[in-house]
Amino acid sequence: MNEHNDLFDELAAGDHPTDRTLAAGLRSWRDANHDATVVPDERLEARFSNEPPLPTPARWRQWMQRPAIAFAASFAAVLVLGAGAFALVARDSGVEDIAATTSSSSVASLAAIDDEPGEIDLPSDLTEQMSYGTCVLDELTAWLTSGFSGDEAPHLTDSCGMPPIPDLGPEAAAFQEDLQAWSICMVDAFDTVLPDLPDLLSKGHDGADGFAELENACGEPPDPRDYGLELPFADFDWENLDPGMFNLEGFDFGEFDLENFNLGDFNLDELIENLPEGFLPEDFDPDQLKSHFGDFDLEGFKLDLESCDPADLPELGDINSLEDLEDIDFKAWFEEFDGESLCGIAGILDFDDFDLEGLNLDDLNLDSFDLEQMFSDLETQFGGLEGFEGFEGLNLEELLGGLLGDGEFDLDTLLDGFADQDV
Amino acid sequence: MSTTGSEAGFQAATDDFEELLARARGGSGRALRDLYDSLSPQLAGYLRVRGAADVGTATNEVFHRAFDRLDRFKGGESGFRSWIFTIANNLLIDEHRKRVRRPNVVASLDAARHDVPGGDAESEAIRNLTTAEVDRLLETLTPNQREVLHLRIIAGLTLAETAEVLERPLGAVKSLQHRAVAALRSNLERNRVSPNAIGTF
Repeated sequence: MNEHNDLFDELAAGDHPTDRTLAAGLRSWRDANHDATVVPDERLEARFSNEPPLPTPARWRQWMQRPAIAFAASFAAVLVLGAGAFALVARDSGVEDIAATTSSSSVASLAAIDDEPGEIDLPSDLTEQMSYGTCVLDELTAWLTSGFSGDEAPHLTDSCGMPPIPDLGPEAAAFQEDLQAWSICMVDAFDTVLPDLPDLLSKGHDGADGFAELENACGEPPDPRDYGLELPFADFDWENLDPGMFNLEGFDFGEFDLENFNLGDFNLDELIENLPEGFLPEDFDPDQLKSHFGDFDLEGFKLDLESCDPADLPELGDINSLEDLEDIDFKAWFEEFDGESLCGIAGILDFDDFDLEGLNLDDLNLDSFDLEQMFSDLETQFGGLEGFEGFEGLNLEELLGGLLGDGEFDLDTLLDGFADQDV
Repeated sequence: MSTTGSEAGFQAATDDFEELLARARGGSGRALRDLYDSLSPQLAGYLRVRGAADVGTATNEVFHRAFDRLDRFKGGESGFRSWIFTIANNLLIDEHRKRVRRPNVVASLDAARHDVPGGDAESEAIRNLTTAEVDRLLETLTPNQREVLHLRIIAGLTLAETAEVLERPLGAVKSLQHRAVAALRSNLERNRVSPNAIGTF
């Protein structure tokens, strides 16, 4: 029962004589407002008509995914533990700073280790393990999607061999041995259970027995802490990971030309198309990337600007020269807008992380700045420049000269650009 | 599926919300439809009382936004309900920004109520009178109090879910609800609304 029933119940049982009447009134008001007559539009109907093909009953498929996921997770644990143990061994092999990796919450420290002699290259060392994992998942996926039958069940040991465990060194020998035994046991158990699954399921079982057999066959994977070993990365503070710690200077953007990147015509799809091959992971989902932009409604934002009345804007103060700009508290100016302001600038406030104070004007590239377009936009958005006050006495030449640099500034050329503007 | 007036949330859709959500994420149209049917009456009602210009379009848009980002959602049934109404609130904010003036809520309510399929003439008359009285009572509340009651009663959210949607502490929402009910009670007594006109519980 939903909690809001308690609200009605409390009212109905209350001491106040009117509570019962109020409860009844609110209930009927709710029922009158609930609307079951709303119908899905065409796009939703199209979504609803889609049903992914299920070669086998959905119950089978879901069941099958469980051990597959469990195994994949177990194997991932093997990889992680193996990688961690490998790092542990490397620490004892003379890489002094590797201890930092076991307790550091800083990616920067990892980068620092990268420069040390005896650099650890974990991905290359785990190639064999990754290949094994891929083999297992490929086998399971192929069987699953072909409408699995017991006769065609994959035999993982035959297809992929035994799970490879990296050499963990003498200190972790006992752990490595148990880890190897557990992995082999899991693969054997899996090979045993797999062919029986379709038969079990066809007899009306829900598969729980088979799954329990798999779970109980080998017990929990060995925990390196039980062997007195540390878990590298266990203390890593993923939640507070600061992207600023990454050293992007060493990151190779290939042919990506950041300087000529035009935000005015920004087109994410086009950008993705033009990125160097291999730059993005194979499973990269542009829609997911777009989703990171949240609910920001660019079109709505533009409409807001068009409906904006300059009279609603907080006073910015007189701007008569470039020096005046230094005295304006832009941050306070923005704060004068409340969240309910209909003036489109409220939309800017949706960018909670936008750091106005950190805005560095020195980095602005004005080479391709289109002054004509800017004034055209202002005309459109604010209904003309008449709405702006406080520009009387403005020394335009001084202002623009200060902005663009005296050596490059040519007022005549600029004014030519205004030839068709009714300003 | 109609859940008008029900308090059951997803009960008619499935007892296992996680399974339903997993199927919906996998592209199952049936699962998506279940999610839609389970919440659309409450959502449409909420959007209406919050002043949405076109309730049907807004309801569908909320579900489009939700379905487009289903992979990003984390949580259970309760969290999903909160998430849907948070999206609805965001949509209302977007809509609000696009309009210089918000249409009169009571007017839109009255207009919408004509669409509600009715029973016999006598009970219809009682219901219209009741909802009209409640509308007037709710108009006496502060916007924050009213919003809490909209989410609690029309959307059917719990106090915790309401607090999540409004991004307010649970205690603040409880306080708003308490004051809202007290104000409704006080105004009802002051205006001496006839119980016969309200109907029976």
